[in-house]
Amino acid sequence: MATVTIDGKTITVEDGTLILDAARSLGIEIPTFCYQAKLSRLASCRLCLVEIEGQKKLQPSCATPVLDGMVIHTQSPAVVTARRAMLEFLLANHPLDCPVCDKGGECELQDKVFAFGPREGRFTEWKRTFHSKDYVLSPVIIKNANRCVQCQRCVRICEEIVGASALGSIGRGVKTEETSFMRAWLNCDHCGNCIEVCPVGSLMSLPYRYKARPWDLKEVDTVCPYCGTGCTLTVGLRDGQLLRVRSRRQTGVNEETLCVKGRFGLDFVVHEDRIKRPMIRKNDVLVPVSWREVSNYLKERLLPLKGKGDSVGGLLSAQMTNEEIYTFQKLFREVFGSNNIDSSSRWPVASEGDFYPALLDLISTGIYRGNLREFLSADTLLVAGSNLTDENPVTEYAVRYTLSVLPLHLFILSSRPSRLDKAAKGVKRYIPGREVRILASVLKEVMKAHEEDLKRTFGDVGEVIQGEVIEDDFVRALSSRLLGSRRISILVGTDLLRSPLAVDAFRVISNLIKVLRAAGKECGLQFLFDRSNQMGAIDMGAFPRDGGMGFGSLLEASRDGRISFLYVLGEDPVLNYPDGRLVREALSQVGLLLVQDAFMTETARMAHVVLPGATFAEKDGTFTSNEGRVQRVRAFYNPPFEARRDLEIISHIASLLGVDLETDPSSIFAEIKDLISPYRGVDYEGLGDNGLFTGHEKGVDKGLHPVAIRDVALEGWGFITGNHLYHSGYLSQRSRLLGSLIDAPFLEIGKEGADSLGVREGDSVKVRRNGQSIELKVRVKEGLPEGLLFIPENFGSLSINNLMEKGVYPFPVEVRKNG
Amino acid sequence: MKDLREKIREISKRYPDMRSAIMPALYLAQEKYGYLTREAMEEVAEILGIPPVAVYEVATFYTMYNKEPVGKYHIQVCTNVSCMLLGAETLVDHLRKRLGIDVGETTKDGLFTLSTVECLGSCGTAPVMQINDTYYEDLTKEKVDEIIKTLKEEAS
Amino acid sequence: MYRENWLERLEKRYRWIGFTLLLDLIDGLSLTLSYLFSKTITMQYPDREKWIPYPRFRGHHFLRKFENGDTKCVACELCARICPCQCIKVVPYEDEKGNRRPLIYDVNTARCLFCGLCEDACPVEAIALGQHYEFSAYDSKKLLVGKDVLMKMPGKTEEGGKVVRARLVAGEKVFAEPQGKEGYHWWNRIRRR
Repeated sequence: MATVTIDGKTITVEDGTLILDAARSLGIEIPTFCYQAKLSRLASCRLCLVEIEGQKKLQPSCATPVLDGMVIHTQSPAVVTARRAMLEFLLANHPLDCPVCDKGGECELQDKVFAFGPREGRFTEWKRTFHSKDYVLSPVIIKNANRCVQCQRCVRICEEIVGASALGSIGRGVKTEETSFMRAWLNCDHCGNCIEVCPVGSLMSLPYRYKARPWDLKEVDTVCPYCGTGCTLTVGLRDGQLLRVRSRRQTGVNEETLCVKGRFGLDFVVHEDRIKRPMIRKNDVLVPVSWREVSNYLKERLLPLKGKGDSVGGLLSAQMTNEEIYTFQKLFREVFGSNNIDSSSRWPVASEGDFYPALLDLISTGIYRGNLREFLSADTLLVAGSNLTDENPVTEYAVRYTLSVLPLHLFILSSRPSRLDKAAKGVKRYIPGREVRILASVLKEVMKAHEEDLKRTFGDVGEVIQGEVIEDDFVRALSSRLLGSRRISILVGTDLLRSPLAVDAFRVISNLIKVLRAAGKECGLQFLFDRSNQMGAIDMGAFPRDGGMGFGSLLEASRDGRISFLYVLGEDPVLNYPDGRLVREALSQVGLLLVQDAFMTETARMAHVVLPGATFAEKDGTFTSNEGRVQRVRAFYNPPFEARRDLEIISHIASLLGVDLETDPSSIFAEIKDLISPYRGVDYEGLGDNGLFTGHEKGVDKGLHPVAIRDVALEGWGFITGNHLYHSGYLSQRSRLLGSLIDAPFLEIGKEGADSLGVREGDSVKVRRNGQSIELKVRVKEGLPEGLLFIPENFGSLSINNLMEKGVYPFPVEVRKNG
Repeated sequence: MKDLREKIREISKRYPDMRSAIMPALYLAQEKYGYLTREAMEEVAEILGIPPVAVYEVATFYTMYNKEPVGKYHIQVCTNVSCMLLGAETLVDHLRKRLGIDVGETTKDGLFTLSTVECLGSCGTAPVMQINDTYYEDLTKEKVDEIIKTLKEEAS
Repeated sequence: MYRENWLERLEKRYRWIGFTLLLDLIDGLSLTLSYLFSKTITMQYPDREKWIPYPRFRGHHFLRKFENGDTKCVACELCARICPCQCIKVVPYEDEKGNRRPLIYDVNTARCLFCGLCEDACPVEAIALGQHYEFSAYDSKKLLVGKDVLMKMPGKTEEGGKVVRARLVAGEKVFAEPQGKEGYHWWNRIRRR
């Protein structure tokens, strides 16, 4: 501990604390420029200089740690003069084109000069200019190097947090320019974090270019609708039009970072594909009708089904709010008396009856409902079944940051190579179907080492793992690391959930957590869901319970003609259910297919009745992120045309059947709070900027589950699917900006595979299965295991699920070079 | 192609961090290609397994890396204090007249590129110029003429 | 403390003489009488005459142009920001040449109080208040003028302050059309003492 005096106030802080942080905790504001929390220290702008008694020269407070007994002045004449001089230097070359600059009005240089700076510059030479016109670095980033103040925040965030390393400082001295390789088109994530951190208008957002001034914008804080990481974001609207998205400092899980989908992908809300009014199928054509007509029609058709639980079913999207999901399941459970509800059509692909019990067991056993950053401050982190870079980019940023500041050992078990691989202590590529064996092998090693503890905790456990285990470097390294760690965190990705062996994988992970805990270690897991409210959907009970049917079983029942009403809310199973033939066949056999969606999806085209719902932009409510953090979604648009908020529609349908359901999100949340135990401590009104965490439910420890290792053999080529960085689900597909970043789906193939097929990057190949075939462009990805192909899912133009089949993963295919 | 890769791999083994190997790797690439083309920098980045922009940063920082094509003989005249006092400027003028090019330009036959540089670290023997990797010291106009003549003969 | 001088004291003491002889009345009436033989001051507006204001006059807004016809405005919105009655709305866009220009530049002249702050705020001297003042309308919606109108508005003339011969034009728009540049300064005809 060190005691220092800053401006006459005394404070005692930890050794190694920066003077800047110590001063800030005293409420003394020191201006900074190049300093950015979470980034490496550069101390190049010299704006935070302070005077330390006994040292002749001023010292940068952002890079100088305190020493015991230091006496520091932040407002002495020397400091004030130096500050002013530094700003004068910066202004010497900074063009004064503030009226044209998009940053004008929220520019840090402007603010600093107004607060501390010289009112007049003495520099009369010409200013250095790199170029007369701004140049475009990517479809979303535009650069004006003349305005750059060389703080290198963009370079540092790109390398240290995002990991793309696409920007660099070019040249030397006064001619330094932060830009891309050869000033050319950036080959990066287009995440725009460089724009966010740029203190001046050097890096700017191209879509927002010359659209408004910061003071024109009405800003609304909401939550990203894409993946489950649950980033908070602030949308800026001018005259009710969405112009830009930014993140907020030190808020939420993302802490001023966002990925490309969150920052640039929200323009889907104004896509012209919106459903404008209710539609009823008449003579095999969907005809727009009034709400009154559709209500009468639905009343007539639905009243006889009231209470007939077995013949109705519901599928809802995990991108709905908690309140909607809760009301939806209430509609089914209380009005229809049905348990046939599911919240995702993408998994499970097999053994449906066991899927949710196993998942719930895993959740109650191991889930860590708490801050991701705290979760990551462990000794060992295992990422199982996810390409973090593509699936949950902001979680990846958090992992990368944690790796840079803590001695965290990262192990990755994933089919697809990701950018984190380089930083990992151990990486294991597998062909899906092998993951259970790998995890079980680790489990076995750990169990072997802790036999005593296990006996004490669980008694005689018997043979938990049945089957042959493997021994390789990864298993050895991971298990020995697990044995040596005190705190272990596991991130469970969606690849595991897609596999037919998901249930086994859940059990192995659950066992692993129990065993490690029995050995006296802290161990927890978080999921890496790819839908914004998947965690909430599970919490709200949007899954088949007590013998209800999941979506897969519902489809089979529909095919047999046993389902007379299927309610699909905001989901597009025709596009993304991993068995194209089954889903089309089944949905055509449903007595009444009701699709409620904001967009005209493939499923909506098959529906008997289509109701115009709302997007996340038009509703209030809450999302629960992967962390178990409940955050407020706030409306910033009104539903267009005759569309209504989903909550209103659900309760409208209930009212047609004579039941009144609440439509006010806050009162529904109060009900949720009463009924669902993890939400007990969460108050709707108290959800501030950072949201609130749901509580841990005490899992009933039922001991270890025996797991029989099965193998799914893959001969020849097989493909797996997943999300792409620019594209996940049908929302991103309707974003024009994201569409401009990725125009067509592609096929990822390993280097060896490409050589054996004789294809190169950009070649076209034909992928065939069961008489169906698609053509794709090849992208060579080093590190994909041999025989494995990857195709990003959800490209509507592709109907990739025609090549898929329920219960199979990866999907065996024939691949041929085209032409 | 292959030998550059091997050479760079060999050198990179001496460094704990691949970024430290950028400078020698760039020299090797410059030796091979004459100057640093975009492709050369990308190749170096690929061999060292680092982002291309990191290589570009180093290449643009140091003046000793040529980003533009240079002639067969790259004449670098020191114009720093000691050399300047002993007449480097007149030498540069002389060379400009003699070669018919300005500083930073290359002769039409592609033989000579003239540039001025900062201290070459040989002040005791000023004025100095460096042609490719060779130092020419204690220069006078006559000596310079002699050198140019020799080099021209050597080239033809 | 103020002390009266001897003249004031004298005046005060003998003021009754002036009162008795009605000197003030005669004084006033003589001015009135003299106007009977002077040039008229009443402007024959709008039928015969029109006053051209000084260049510093703050009349209808206009946008200055470059020689190539582009507006000088860079749509920085500072005018909209400083406007005390919020009657300016600017929406920028990037034109074909890559410059920042106004897509929308609306001035609600009905709400404008012609303070001229927009002119002061403008960093490129694009917006200014000109000498045009005849733009009253029957419909308040017509007082909302856009970029095209502002760019066509007459700019400032060097001269001003004169009353010139004019003709009333009562078409769709009603205004007095100046006939020639020669005129007179009406306050030169005011007699002062």
